[in-house]
Amino acid sequence: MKRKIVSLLFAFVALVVAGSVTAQTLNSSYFMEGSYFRTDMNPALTPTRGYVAIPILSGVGAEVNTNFMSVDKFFFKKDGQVVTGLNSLVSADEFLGRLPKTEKMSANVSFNFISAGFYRGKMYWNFGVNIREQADMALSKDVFTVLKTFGNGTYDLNRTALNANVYGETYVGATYPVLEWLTVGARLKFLTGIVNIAANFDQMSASVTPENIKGDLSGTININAPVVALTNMRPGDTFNFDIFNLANGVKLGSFGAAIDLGAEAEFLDKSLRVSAAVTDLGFIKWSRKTTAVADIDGAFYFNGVDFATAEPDYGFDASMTMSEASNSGYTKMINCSLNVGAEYNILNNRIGFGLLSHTEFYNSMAYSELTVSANFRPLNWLSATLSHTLLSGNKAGVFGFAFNIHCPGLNLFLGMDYIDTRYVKYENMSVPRMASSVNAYFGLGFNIGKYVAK
Amino acid sequence: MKLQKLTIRIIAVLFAFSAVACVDKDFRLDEASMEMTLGQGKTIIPLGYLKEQTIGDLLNTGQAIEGLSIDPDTGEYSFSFKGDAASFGVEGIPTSLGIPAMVNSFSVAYPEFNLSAKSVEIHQGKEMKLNMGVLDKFGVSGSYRVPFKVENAITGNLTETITPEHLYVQVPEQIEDIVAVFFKDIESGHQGAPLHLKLDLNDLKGINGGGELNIDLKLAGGNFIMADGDGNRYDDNHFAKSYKIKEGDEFVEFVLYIDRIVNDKTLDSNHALDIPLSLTYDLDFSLDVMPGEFSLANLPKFNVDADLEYGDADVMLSKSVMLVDYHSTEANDVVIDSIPAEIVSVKSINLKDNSRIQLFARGLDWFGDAADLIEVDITLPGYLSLHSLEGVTYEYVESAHQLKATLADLEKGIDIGLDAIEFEGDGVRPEGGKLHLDFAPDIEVHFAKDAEIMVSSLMPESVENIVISTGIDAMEFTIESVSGCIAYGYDYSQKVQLGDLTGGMGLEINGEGLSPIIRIEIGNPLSLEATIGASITPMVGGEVRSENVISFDNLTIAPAEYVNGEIVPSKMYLVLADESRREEFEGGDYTFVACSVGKLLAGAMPDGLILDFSVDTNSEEVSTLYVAEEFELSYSYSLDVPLAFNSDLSIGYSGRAEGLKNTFELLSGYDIKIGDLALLVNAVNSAPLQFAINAQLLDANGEPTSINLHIPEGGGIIKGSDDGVKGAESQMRLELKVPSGDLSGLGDVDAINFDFELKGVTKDSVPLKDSQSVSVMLQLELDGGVTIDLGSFAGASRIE
Repeated sequence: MKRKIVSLLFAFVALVVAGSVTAQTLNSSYFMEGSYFRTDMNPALTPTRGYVAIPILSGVGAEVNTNFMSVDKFFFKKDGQVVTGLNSLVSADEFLGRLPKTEKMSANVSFNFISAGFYRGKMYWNFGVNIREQADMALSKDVFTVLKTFGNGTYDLNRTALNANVYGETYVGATYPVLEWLTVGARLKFLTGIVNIAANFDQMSASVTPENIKGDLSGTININAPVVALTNMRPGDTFNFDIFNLANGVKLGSFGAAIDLGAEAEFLDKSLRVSAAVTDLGFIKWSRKTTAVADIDGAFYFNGVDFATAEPDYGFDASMTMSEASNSGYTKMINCSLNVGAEYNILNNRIGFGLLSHTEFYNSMAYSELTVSANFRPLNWLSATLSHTLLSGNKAGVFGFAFNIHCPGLNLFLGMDYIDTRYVKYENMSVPRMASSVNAYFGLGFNIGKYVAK
Repeated sequence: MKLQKLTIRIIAVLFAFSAVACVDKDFRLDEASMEMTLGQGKTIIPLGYLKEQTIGDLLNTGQAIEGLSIDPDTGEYSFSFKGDAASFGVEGIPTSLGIPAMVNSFSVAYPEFNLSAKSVEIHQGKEMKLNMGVLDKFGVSGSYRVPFKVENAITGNLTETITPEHLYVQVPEQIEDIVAVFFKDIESGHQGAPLHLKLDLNDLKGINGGGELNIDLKLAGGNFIMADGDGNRYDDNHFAKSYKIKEGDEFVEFVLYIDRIVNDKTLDSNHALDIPLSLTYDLDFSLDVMPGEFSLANLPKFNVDADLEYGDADVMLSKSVMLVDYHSTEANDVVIDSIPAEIVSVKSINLKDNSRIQLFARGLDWFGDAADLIEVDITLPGYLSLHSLEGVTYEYVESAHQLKATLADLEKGIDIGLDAIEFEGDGVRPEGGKLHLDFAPDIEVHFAKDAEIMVSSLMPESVENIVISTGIDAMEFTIESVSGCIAYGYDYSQKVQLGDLTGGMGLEINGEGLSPIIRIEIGNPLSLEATIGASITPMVGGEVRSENVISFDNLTIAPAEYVNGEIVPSKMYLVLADESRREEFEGGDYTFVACSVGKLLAGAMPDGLILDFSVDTNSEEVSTLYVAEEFELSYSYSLDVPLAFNSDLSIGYSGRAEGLKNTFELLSGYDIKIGDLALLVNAVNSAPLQFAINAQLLDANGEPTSINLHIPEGGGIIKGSDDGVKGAESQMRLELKVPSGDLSGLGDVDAINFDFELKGVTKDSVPLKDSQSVSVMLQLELDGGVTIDLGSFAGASRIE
């Protein structure tokens, strides 16, 4: 059973991030000057050399960010044995106290078809074509509260939401040092909407009273996909998965645009570098032809058995009906990020101490991380970073590490933002204890051009 | 360079540090306990409910309870059982009465009717005064010869009155008056005495040349009816006629028949009829003379000769004279048998309409034609209550108990309506089922008033003594009623199956809080006041519970009525109930009988009753029993057990649910623990019953299991309402004691013993009504959550 649980967990993660290549947020790479991934986080931050990324081989990675899914939040050692947080030996305060108010999970995947960057004079140009997936989920803490302290009361699960975007991104970016101490960069992105799913629940609650147990669910789900065909579906009709029908052809009609803007300022003779960027500030206008909006309404109640009829008095009603908003287009912002960083260099920029604030703005939430890093650049072609990400549920002991070999002709990147220093055992495996997020990425590309010092 | 090396080393160390890090080998996820406790606080969840439902709704939705009924006005419940109307036959009451023939015979002498009358003779001859006429011119004397014819030569006349003897008729006392005396020809015997009238021409016969004779005759003494020889009738005592004298005849002779004299005189003191008679005639003749010799020596002579012989008489019979005056001195004994022993004395036996007897009088047929004129007055025995029929010729004088009929009718036999056989005073007492009657009628035979008859018809050829029989033929009558002292008594017993009034629930009833009512409707088919007694004995499971019998006696039921020829049984409605309920029923149509009906239900609801009835009529007083072909004493009954409860009454039910081992065994395979579990029953109850429960879980050996139910002090009762109106709120708490919270012990449970007790709330009985209601909320209280080991569900056990 235990193996099954762990296996399921891994599989879930794999499903979510399958196919990911380039991690959206490689916090550890932000201050790594040889990494071309950093431009994704701030168009003003350029690698030391131009590059050409090889499709498929340019990077493999997976990323799941949560603020709650770590071993130490769910497993406890009590009386010499390991128990789950739902064990009676673990008090409710102890278990629930470790969980945040809203459980958040996000998974970002980017599949890079092609990307490249090169310098032309002071201008650094870069372009690429990606398929990006952004998914996020918010879950109310009351889910665990119910399990742990199930009793009479009201459980509010309104903070549950699920969003996902898959879109194609074609970008052109440019970075230019407008001043000696100020570099600005931008990327213009043309977006092709592929799939948008947004499920929002404005009512999701449950109550348990001596008189009844009931729950309500109310929300909407927006689906926009190229295989959606609302033939014969009218508002009020029961939602039918037949709307996803390849026989109707694949229609790509949702387009949008986004922009990355960034800047880096150098102070104190380049000892202090302060940067800020907003990425993926844009929208996609999702086509009405491929839009299906369903109203979800559900309710259940259980009042007990009606002894008059010997029948349980319960009700369960769930409906998913086509909304009036179906077949009408809508414009939606894509998840954007705000990265603000500062690094102080010493030893002639061989060692830098950075602080990065990374905030992801999802539809349902904002997810912030604060990463402190120690960045080592002993050689022009070698970089390494040791980091620790805060405010994401990570505890002390979870470090990030990355290193990058960026010599002429080769760019090799390996990094993990969440490396736990404390592990527990599962059979022969060591399982991180504290880390609530996980990512790992590997990138392989070709450097072109000469070295540009930072 | 140094810096670079330093940096590389630092990186390497950090890398190595990071790679090795810290592995808590004691923290093994593969050995983690999958025991989870869901919910740790006190949780109360709903299990079920019963929204406010009236008792009426509850009972209507469930399986119908046979025998449960509801008063439409008050809504009060009761167990009711109604017995089908039944009846038993009352036998032995006679419906017919056979009266034997009642005949009384006696002999009487034939009365004398003969009239004696002397014949009245009339014999006279008188010479005619002649007027010779022309012959006078010849100075005829002596004899003379007339040479020639001379018309109307001679005339003569004569006027004479004859006074014969009186017609004297001696009349017997039976004859009141003579209407007419009929004469007869003494020679031929035919009716009508001839009065010979002859004109003898004597010495003139030689010269009779024809002529004419005229006579005018008058009789006196009465109204003579005469007839001449030609059959011409002459009334008014006057006869006048002309006769032709034929030439050469020597005489002219004719007869005048005197048929009768109609009497206008009364009988004298000797009871005789004395009629002076006289006959006056005026005669003249004229004679043609023809040649011949005549003489005047013998002048023509007119002769009158008659013998008025009594032939018959039309008489008025005397009503006052009894032809027969018979008073019985010895009565005949008439026996009516087959009188039931229950009829102690007979005051009267009333017969159906159209009952009639045929009275006859025989032996009087010699009266012949006089039969219609002869009246027979028969005074019948007083016990025969008669009435005359319509359209009859006889007369019944009820006051004299006398029948007046003609002899002619009696000879044929007359029907007279017989109403009843009645006796004076207190009636007569049958002996050995027989009723002895004396039949001694008085008979008076006399002529009817103004009876007029010919005496000859009263004169049979030879009659001396005659034997007369009067009486009544034997007849069978349909009895309408019998009056008298009647003592019918009946006992009747019946077993009644009530069935299980509690719907198979096998309730144990303690105390006498239930106050049942038994209603009995009895119909009395007898028109006799009767007293009724009854006893009712309950049966439970076939066992007769004699100790719980209830009874009553000496209740008087009114007699049945007799309306338009039909017996309408009287009805009596009895209510048997506790004395405390008297006020409810008094003043109505019911007769209230106080008795401890609750005894019938002591211990258990009966499933059968034995009903014993005894009915007795009052034999001390005279009453009238109307008779029918069949008598059915009908009765019906109902048993109502109003469901009204008081604190003296408790109804218990014990039950056992078995075969539960498989039900809970499923749980025993899993490692499931619970905290404290309690079943809460929150009730609002406006029924006047409190409900207590006790239960015990048993294993297959009948021993209590380790897991068992515990009811805290005062926690096992759902309260009832004091007044049946206001709802009582209460909470029943049943705690499941689970050692160590381990539910697997439930797998040992094979049976649940439970005892329910329903008890009234207050000392006063409060009825259960359909409007009372119960609402229940069943909740499960779990304190401490449910602990499950996921490993046990997956087939893997927790590694210890």
